[in-house]
Amino acid sequence: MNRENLKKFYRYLIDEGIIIILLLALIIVFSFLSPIFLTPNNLINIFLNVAIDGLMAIGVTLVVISGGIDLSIGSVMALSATLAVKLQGIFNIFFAVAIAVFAGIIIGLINGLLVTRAKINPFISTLGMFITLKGLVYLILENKALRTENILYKNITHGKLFMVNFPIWVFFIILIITYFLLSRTILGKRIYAIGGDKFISVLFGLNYNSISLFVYTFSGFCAAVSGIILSSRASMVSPLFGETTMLMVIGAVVLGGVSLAGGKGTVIKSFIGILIFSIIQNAFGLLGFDIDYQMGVWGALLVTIITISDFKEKVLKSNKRNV
Amino acid sequence: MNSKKILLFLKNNSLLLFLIILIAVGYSISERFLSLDNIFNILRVSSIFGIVALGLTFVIICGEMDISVGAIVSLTSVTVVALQNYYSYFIPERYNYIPSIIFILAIGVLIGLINGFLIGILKANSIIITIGMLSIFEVIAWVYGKKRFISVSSNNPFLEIGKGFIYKIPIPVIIFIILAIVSYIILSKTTVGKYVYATGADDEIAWVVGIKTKKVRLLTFIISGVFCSIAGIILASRMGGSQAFTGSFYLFDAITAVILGGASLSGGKGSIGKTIAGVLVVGILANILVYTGYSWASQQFFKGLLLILAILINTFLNVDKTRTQYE
Repeated sequence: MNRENLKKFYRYLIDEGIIIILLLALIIVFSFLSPIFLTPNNLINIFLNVAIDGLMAIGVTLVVISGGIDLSIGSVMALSATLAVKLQGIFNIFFAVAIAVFAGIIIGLINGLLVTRAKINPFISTLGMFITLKGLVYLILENKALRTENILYKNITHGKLFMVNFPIWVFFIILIITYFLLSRTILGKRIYAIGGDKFISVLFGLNYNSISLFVYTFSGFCAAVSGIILSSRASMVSPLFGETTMLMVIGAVVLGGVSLAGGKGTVIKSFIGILIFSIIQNAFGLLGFDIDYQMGVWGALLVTIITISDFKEKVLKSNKRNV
Repeated sequence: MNSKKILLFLKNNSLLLFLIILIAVGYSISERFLSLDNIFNILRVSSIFGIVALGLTFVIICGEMDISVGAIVSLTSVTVVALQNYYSYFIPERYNYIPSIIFILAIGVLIGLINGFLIGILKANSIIITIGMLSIFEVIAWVYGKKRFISVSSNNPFLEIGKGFIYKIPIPVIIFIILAIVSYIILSKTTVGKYVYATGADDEIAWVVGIKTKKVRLLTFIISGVFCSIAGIILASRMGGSQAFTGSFYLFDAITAVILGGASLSGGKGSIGKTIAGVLVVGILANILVYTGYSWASQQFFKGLLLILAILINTFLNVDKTRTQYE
């Protein structure tokens, strides 16, 4: 390794390293504190959580990179879970799941249309969508949880392929596809471009509307798949699903290093953010801490890391005046 | 020519139009809609999230976002009750609300200082920081409130704040009107208000002309914190007690009210008068939905749908054709 590369490596470590060091530190500390932490069963447990939250995180990452935001994911997830469980009684299970995923795609499409055609700020339109869909979920479920006893449906999470549960495969396949989509295809470059500078990218002839539409639709699809996995794992659906998801998932995505200003970030970073979140969640259970404190610890971690990284980015490295 | 004038009037006063339509719809559903009792009921319900919306207006005009407002309401409403129960050991019960309210207002300032310091001075992203703060505040409220509904004893004069009347006008409404006047004066009549608009519109230029943008940001978050703590006190008094997460509903109502009022999330736009109109629209909408007799769930559904529609029409009327399509 020559000097130039070494310098690059140090710069990388300072810029991106905090989050990886944090991840490694958490893993090391928890594996000492709890003998169960690194057992295969527990790892599968952690990765099932990663699969559920991570799928939504992948969708949100694309939206955030393109310069938007999607706050409706929690409700989309709850709605798809509701439809999948509710329709099992009426239709064939495959048909029910297909309808649930399709509903997610349609809602993503509506989100995209509200942002691109009606030109409503994405923060507002997706927040409105969040409230509306939450009401719809309560309406369909009549304010109570709904159980499912369908073995086939439960097997979506409990079934295994090469010792690993299906959702984890699904998650990693979608992760790899989006990774290549973002880094190796023209569409990926365009998503970064419209997030980096909307005006200039449109001047260069990019179709902002259709790229944005794709991104929101994809996010709706991811949230819908995640809802099916969650309801199959819990073998029930409750109207409380997705209540705090939007805060946790968006928090994790930003913690991983995706910038809310757009144009920056990768799905791998979001994956690391979600992994940290899931490890903390899991360790709280294993170590017997009061589960109520978990949300507070997560909030404190988020505030600390974001303050440090934003301070570094905006105050120390910025060439602009210190406004 | 004439139609152009009408269109221009509509553009500038679209919210007024909404209000008139809503009132007409409400009156057609029930005659009692326009009775004095119901009008005061609407105002009383609206005043709590209205106060939150007033504080949020400052933050949004300044180009930032405060997602923790609902959590601050939860936290302060729980603390004000818990403190009173604590003070009742050594202060006569008739007076124990005075120190607790003063303490809560101080907490509001402190919360605003923390948010404002991280966002205004250390320049962290406001959405994410306030998401983090939301989780912290709710957990503190949950643990400090002993994880259940804690209540004030039923003969405590503290309850008058939320339930009492002065000259037949509910006290929360009076507090809301006073705060609205105060924030109108701050925002429209003082130099500080101009600084808030300037910082939101372009902080670089504001800094160049000599505005201390960091302090302006800090100030807006302190105002938001104090207003939320006042809302928390009223909420606790109205319900005769409080629990964590009770305030979280106010976040969405307050944000929609401010946005309906035409404030832009990129900063520099909005006014107190329009925010009040937005508050009334959300409040009346909720009241009409109660009158229709639908279940709570369907009310939520229609509320969300109607609000999206209202924002759609509002944006449609306010689209400036001269501006470039892609800013």
